[in-house]
Amino acid sequence: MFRTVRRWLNLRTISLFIFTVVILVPLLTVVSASLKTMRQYVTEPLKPPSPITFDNYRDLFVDYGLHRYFVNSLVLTFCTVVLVILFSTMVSYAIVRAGGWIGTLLFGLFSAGLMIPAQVNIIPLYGLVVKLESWFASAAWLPDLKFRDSLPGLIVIEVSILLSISVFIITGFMKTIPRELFEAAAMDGSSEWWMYAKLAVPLSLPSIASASIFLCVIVWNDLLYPLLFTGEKAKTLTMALMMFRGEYESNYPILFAGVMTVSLPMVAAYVFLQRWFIAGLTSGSLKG
Amino acid sequence: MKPSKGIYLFVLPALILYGIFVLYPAFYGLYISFTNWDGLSAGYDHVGLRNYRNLLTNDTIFAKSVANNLKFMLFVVIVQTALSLLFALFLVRNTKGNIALRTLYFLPTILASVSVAFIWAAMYDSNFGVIKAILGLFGVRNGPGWLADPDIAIYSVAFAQVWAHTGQLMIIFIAGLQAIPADLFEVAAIEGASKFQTFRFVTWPLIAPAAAIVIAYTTLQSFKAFELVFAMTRGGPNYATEIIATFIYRLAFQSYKFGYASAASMVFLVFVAVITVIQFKLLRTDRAGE
Repeated sequence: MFRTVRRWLNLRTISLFIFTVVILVPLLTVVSASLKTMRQYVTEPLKPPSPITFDNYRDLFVDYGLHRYFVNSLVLTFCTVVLVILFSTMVSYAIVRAGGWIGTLLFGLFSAGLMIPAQVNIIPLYGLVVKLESWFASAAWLPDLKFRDSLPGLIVIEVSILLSISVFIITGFMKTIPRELFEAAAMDGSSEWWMYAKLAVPLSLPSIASASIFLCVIVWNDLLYPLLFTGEKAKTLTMALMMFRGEYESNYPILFAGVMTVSLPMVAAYVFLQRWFIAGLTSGSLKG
Repeated sequence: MKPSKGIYLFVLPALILYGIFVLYPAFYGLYISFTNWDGLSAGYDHVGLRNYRNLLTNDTIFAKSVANNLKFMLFVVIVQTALSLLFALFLVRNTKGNIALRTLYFLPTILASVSVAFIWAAMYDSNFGVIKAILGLFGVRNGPGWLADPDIAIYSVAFAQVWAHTGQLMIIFIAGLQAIPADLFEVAAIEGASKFQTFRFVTWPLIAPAAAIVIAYTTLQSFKAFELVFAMTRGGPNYATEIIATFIYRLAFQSYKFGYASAASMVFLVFVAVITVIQFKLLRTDRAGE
């Protein structure tokens, strides 16, 4: 009896137990509080919701139209990831095909972006966007171009920012494809486009999957660029959440219903694609 | 066979976007830092080094944000590295239970920083906070004001960062540990090495490269923790959790001092570069010493 107790009460078990509690309690609090009334949350913070109420979700979706921001986030994430993957696989293919000093130069040029922290970039980027908009507005022969509070504008900015990391991940993988493969195909008269679409991309799928997941999580969760560039029309979910904080102060049940709405799509995807998520997020973050 | 010239068309779309929105701003930012531009009006003056002089000699809030950033960084680097290594050692074997725990510990990594910020703001809340309620169960009535007390607020925010990212770094350590050949541990066991000796002389030297990566990544990550701090405290109370990133944002986009904030961002860039170099040197000599 004493032995079994001792076997279970070692440092490992105790540490794992404590850390599991530390990780779980905040997560469970979010789920449970989002189903509570403010009144129950205040009086019984640790008890499970009783009765379970969906009023918080109803308030967010019906009164505040949270679904609009949900759609914005969805469109932003989808378009950004597709464009970044398209453009960066093209760059990676060119780097690998060109090889030599041109390949090295291109790779260095795109990797340089990894060393510019967002905090350094945002001020001149904002200044640039203001100038671009006024140029386009002042010249009659130019179409009206909007970056601020427009989803296409935000997509262009996110795509530009994320090219570096994606080129870095995908080039690293594409380099391992034997060059002879492309050379042989070129000998047989294949065009560059054919080799890009039928050889390079299919053979790089694992790295493309990693990069896509990494990019999805980054864009879906991003606050900084939506904070700078969106108003009411192009507002994303994270941005909407940020605004609710101002409105509801410490009405955590409603805030947590918002947190649930932002998190659920990613958590659901994580549950089904665990291995891919873990691989994608670790490789992406390390290289960033 | 040489690739055709058409290959350069492949680079074009990316290069245009990257050139306009990433490369050009990097230089433009340096230029703005020598002006007094407000970010909105068409005109501005060139002020030479005045922004830098003011920033470095008589801006106490900037000095405070640098100090806070260092506190935040030290806390996160030390606690997060230690915890992720510890749990990697505990969960290194691929048993069902271990894999389940790893999956759970990794989960906060995929949450948005805004979500993490709100979750921990609720945990720390001084009226209806969950931590307060839990301490209440043990009879503690006057717990610390986690986010209200200026002396500890920055560490409370740093802990939220640790909570969110320990699992991710644990995975990197586990990958490093699993790459160590099993016979090395067998030899150590036959030689009668204690658990600590095995760690010190077998495990540690072999995962030092992974540790170097983890520490470097964590350091940069803690310099860039803008979203977490901004969403949780906005730098308050009374600048107690102001870090360089929130300082830059506040000056540029709330006070419209684009020139001055740009100067701060250049100083920030130098900080990041210096820390990267120091770390690179330290970690290299550390490994050479093993």
